Amino acid sequence: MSQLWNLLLQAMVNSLLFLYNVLGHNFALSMAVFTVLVRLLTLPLTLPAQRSSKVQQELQPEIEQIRKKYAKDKEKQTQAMMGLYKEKGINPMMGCLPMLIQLPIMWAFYQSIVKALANTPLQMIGLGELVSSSLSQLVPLGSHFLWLDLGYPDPFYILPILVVATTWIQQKMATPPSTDSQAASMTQSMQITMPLMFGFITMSVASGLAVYFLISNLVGIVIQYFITGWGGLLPQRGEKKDKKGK
Amino acid sequence: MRKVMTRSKIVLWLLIIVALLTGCRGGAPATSWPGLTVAEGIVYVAAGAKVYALEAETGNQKWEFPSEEGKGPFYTTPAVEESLVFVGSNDSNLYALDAVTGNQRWVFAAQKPIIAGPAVAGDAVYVASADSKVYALEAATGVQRWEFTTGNWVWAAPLVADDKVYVGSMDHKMYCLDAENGQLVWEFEAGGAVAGPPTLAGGVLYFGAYDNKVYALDATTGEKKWEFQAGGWVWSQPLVVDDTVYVGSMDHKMYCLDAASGQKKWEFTTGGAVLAGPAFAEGLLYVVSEDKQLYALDAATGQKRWWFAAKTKIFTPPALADGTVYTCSQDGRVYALDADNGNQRWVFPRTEQ
Repeated sequence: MSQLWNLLLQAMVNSLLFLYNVLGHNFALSMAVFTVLVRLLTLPLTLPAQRSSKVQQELQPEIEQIRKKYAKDKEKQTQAMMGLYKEKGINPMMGCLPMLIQLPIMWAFYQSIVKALANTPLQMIGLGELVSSSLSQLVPLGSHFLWLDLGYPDPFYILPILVVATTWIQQKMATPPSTDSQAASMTQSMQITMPLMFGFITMSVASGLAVYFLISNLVGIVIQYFITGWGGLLPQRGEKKDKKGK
Repeated sequence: MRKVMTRSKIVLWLLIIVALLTGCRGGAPATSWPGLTVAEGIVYVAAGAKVYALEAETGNQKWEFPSEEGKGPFYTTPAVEESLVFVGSNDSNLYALDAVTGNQRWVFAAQKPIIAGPAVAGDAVYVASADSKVYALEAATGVQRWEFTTGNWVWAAPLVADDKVYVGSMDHKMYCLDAENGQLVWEFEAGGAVAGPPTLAGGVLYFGAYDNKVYALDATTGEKKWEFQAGGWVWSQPLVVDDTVYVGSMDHKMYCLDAASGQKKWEFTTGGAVLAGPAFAEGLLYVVSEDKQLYALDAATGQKRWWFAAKTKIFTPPALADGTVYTCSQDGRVYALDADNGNQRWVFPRTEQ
């Protein structure tokens, strides 16, 4: 298992270095290209979850009707909802398995960036064990990009702010509006906690990783836009009016 | 159902965050790369957040530095000159300590961590930093005399000999500087980063690089005499004994090369990367490896005579004095071994015995 993991890591680190070599030794650019490639390759794994989310969004009025109809009988409510999902041909749990499958890939990708940004001797040992000899001459990677030294945190905290904003936007777009107050409050607290958490992490890690978070979020936003549009970010006019009316 | 869905998504996100938080430490162990020097019956060790002075005979601690937190960690091999001990730190400072008491005499601040050990020659101390610079300082006061800027981090300790400073940089170059004023005498470009210190013997400069090669240059002109291709990065400082060069590589091997031609005489395979230079005495070659072992090899044949197993990886070059071989493992334990048979004489800290 660990051998398989090492192979995956090795492949990713060397791909990243290969891109760095052909893209004019610009690590931020090679990260951006690699992020797009990885997101495209894992698209078959992420699409079912996003499509399922979109269908659920469209089914909200019917779900709401079922909730109201069986407000006092939870068992019947669940049965009716399952019936609805079956009728529309969706499985609300189907999004989870592909997400689990893509986790090791995303994690290996993240780790390969951490490894490639080695800026201490101990980290460099780890990189040395992964880099193929034909790419060894690239080490250490050029770490300057705009105002950043990619091996160190952003001194002006611009990246953490951008990461917070893009994480929030992406989450907002991906989350269907909920009529269940408990679920809605849970989702809302996640929508605040997650971006702040990522922002906090970004403040203390190498800015190269922050650039990766940012690129990854931007790619995620673009993909999400093509699937669900602006989703929960821009509630439909009818919804807004409804809320005002209430 | 929606609640189940939301909860499972939350669990997934939390898993990702936990994984991220773990990985944010960079994947490397949070310990240092200890350095060790033996001089005048004292073992000076820079390990983790502390620098220790230990009696070479007994392992008894004489002093430790610093007394307060906030300094270190220490990656560099201490340099000792008369009454001062010089040690570089990951906090970007070079500390000059009183060799007897461990009290701080002066401090010099570089702009980025000091990974390389300092070198002392005459009344000057030479130190390199990850800020890409090599500095020459007054040994007594720490006042800067000159600085030379390379094209990348400098992780290799400078070597001072014959009024020249030889220093490798992660910009792939080996530089020869005038020790008096820091003027460039010559430079040589290798095929990879130069992270390890060079060795000078018989007018030839030997060093390794991340292009898996060992280079031999004419020390006067910087012209290449030969190169040897290893199977992994060459980080360790070569050791030259008579007409032989001993050098380790990240391909797990210790190589024995002919100093004149670079031809391989023998190789010895360990169970991990060989990152530190070896030590030699009485026909035995002492080699440390990432596989936690210290090996004593027959220097002529490469045959294993004895070995000692530490508890963690060993990256620190062994040092020899009075029939004892000293080394320090990555967890900061210092071992004193009988150089003839590997029997342990003492270990520091004492509680580990």
